[in-house]
Amino acid sequence: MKAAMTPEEIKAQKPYLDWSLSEREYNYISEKLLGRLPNYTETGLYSAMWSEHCSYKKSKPVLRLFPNKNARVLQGPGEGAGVVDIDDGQAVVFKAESHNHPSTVEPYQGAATGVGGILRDIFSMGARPIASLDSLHFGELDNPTMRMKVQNTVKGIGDYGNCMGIPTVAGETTFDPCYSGNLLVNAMSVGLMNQKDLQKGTANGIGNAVMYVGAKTGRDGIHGATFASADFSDENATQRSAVQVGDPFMEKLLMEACLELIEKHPDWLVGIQDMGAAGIVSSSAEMASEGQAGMDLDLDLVPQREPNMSAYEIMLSESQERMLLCVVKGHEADVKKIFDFYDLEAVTIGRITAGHNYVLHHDGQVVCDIPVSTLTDDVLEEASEEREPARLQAAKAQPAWQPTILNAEATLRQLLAQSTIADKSAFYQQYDSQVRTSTVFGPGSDAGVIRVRGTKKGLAMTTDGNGRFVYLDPEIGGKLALTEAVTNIIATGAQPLAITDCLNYGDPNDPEIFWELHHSVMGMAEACRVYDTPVISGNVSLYNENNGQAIHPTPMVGMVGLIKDINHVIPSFAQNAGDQVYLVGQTGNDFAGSELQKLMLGDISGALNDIDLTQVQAYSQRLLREMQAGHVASAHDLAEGGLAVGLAETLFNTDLGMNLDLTHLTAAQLFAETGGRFIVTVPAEATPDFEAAMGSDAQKVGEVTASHWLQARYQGGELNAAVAELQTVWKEAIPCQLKSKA
Amino acid sequence: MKIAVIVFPGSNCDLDIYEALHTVCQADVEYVPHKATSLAGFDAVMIPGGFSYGDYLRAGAIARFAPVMKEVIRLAKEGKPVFGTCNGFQILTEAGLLPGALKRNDSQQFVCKTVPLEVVNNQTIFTKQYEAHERINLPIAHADGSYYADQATLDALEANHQVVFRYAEENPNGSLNNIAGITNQAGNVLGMMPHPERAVEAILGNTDGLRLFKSLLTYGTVKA
Repeated sequence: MKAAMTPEEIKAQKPYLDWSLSEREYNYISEKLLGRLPNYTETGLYSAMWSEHCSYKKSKPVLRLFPNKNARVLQGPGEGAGVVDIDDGQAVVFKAESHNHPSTVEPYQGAATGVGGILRDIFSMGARPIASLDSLHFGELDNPTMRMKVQNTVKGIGDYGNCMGIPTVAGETTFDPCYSGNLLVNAMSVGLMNQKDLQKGTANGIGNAVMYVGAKTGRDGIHGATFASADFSDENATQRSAVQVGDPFMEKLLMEACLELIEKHPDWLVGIQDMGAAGIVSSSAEMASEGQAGMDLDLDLVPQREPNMSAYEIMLSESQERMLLCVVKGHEADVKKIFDFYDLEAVTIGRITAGHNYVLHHDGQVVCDIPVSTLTDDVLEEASEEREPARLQAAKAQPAWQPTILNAEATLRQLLAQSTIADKSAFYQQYDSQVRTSTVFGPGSDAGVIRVRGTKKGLAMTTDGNGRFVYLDPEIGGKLALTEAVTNIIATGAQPLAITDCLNYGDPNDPEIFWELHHSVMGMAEACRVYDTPVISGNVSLYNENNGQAIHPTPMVGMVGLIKDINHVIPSFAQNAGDQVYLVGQTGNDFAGSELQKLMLGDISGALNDIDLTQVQAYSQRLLREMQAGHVASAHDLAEGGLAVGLAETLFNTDLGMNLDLTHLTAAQLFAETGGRFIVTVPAEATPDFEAAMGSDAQKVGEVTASHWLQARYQGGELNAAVAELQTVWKEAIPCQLKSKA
Repeated sequence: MKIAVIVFPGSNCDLDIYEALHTVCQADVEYVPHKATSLAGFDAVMIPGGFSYGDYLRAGAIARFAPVMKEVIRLAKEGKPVFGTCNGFQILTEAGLLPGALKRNDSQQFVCKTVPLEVVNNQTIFTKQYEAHERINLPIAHADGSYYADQATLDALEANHQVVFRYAEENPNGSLNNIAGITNQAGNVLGMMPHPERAVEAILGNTDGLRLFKSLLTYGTVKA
């Protein structure tokens, strides 16, 4: 770090440009907000707080399109995580966060600290984390570098979550060349709380203490927030200093101490917030802003891991496992006693002051004295140019691609071996999915299901992001992302409650990319309204590019649903021979963006067909009622690879088969990826009720058999496959690629 | 029978074993923090899984020095039941209450799945409700579960029937003699890598672990 420049030198030499603060913003701050030149520390604080990562200055106008309220939402976006009422005075708390940039540079620590950060967001709300999920998008496994990155990402997620004792119960892992230079690592955490324990990130009450708890502050992760707000290129390939290092053991202690404080001594606590992106400055400024308070901090009191840290470094460090508390004056020693038991630091580093200024002392000098709101509220929103990507117009002009399938069984085998479809147990077996002994369904199911101990309730949860569809049509792709999440949740017998999201896109300064962002959010927002699943939390990750090549626009939807009676939870595997098999939803010629297209053409192209959200919602709700009435034995939603892959998956890990009449479908349609569909098995005695309820939205296609064969007649042909052989293909594909020496 | 569940910094299966005993088995059970200096009044001790002290240095290596361990050792020497699963097994070997050591899995990876086991010895206070050589399935979730001891120790374990559970089909971690769980020579201290406390409720899909706790609790009743 250079010796601090004078304000005049900063104005002349413009170091802030390297910190992603523009000259327009710098001038606005000095001329309009401060009426003077900001000093070195202040300039650093502004650059971090005004980064896209902290301020959402570019994405805010788009994010306003999302609905974020309904009768169940107790806390929408803006706090550590969103909160939803699940009755009985309880609430579910959840949020997802991206850690794409750090994970691309250093997959192990990037992924690990991604998990750590999202867990802190949950327990800072007063909730105990009960489950983790992930959404991972990698380049193809055909080269050793990517295999190493995949293995290290998985190990990072596992090592952190396993040590914390939070089960990883669901997620998704996909592979596409577009993620080779910029991985997507999105982590989601779900917490459970009593509504009375709900906390806020706020600070007020003159004289109250600002307490720093947890790990010491080091030089790691400085400018992580601005780092995440710029593109990758070969020139900045080694940005490791911006990557944080995680210590899950420290976080486990921090979690226990914070939850003990919140649950047992709420009267000592005014507010609590995680020190995430932009470290002390963002947590303290946001808390003061929320509480409309002034704040005075003495940085010499901040526990430090390294000597001679500057004010700038202390404030912007993203060292992990730290929290900031606002504690009622007089209870500092009480709070310290709790943290002492866990051998954690707990230090009063400042006080709430009258007025609204944010004042920092360091080495006996005032190094910052600015209005709080200039850091948090006065950020200049940026109107972005947008333009429909040329490829979309071109695609609409092309005739739709119609695949010709010569041998359906061979195609099915090939699809089952596609890395995005193949069995992911090689990854998820590295995650403890059962700790806390409440996991009803773990990884490998349509959605993870956790029972709520002491009640009859269960929570279903899933992550879904399909960049291929959004790339081909952002708006329809956005609707399909929500639809896939809804069908995953419904398939377990749960009512979808709300969503969190990670919006992963390329450089928003490119008008075509901004158009992708805008239009996919339009599609998602419309679907959120139809499905009554408001957005209660989330994050935006822009600048996912490497050498000017953007990822597919990949909004990730994290959805949670409520199961009223856990005894009615629905498995995704066929249960009994003799059960009748139904296909719910219509199948169309939806091949653009499908795994079939990628398999046959090597790439994706074409225009998407729109989806009737209202219709999907109507029959999904009827299906859910049938499940609650006990008329459904199993349900599985259809996604990548379409019906044929879905049928095979329904039979894996069972000793059952199916005999099906699919003569209303062509061979190709067996692999179409039309959204909003389920394969459902129904006990014979329940079929009259089921058919009466579902009407033409469910078509009977056959029955579950005792022989372990998948037999299906379709237009002009017959599929006859031993399920055990299909399962071997599906199971061995990824381990085989991971072991490859090539 | 009053049972202590020891909570070390970083323990994370303490809740699971507590709930298995308290809610499922209606046993008299209490959490005891690692800083406790007395286990007076307790008749049995549970050492839960997790990552005590972050597994830093070596799994279980630091926990053995926690203040409460002196009392755990005292109870073990008095012949009271002491049970450790996963990290608890590692701690019991580090504390010298069980022979051998748990090394890194031969895959070098953490592994979480359900594996078939053979109940090799159903004559212990922990296993008497199982059939001799019964096949059961229990979850494992560990990175350091590869049981190792020198040949003389292994021979003695086998000769004394101290091997209680063995991996029945695949060996998931490279344990010698496919060992999944052992007792001390007196038979009152059991350590095992699989998690019976994760398999005590039908809603979670497996109840094969329930009889381990029931065995122990019946033993308590008979003694009393």
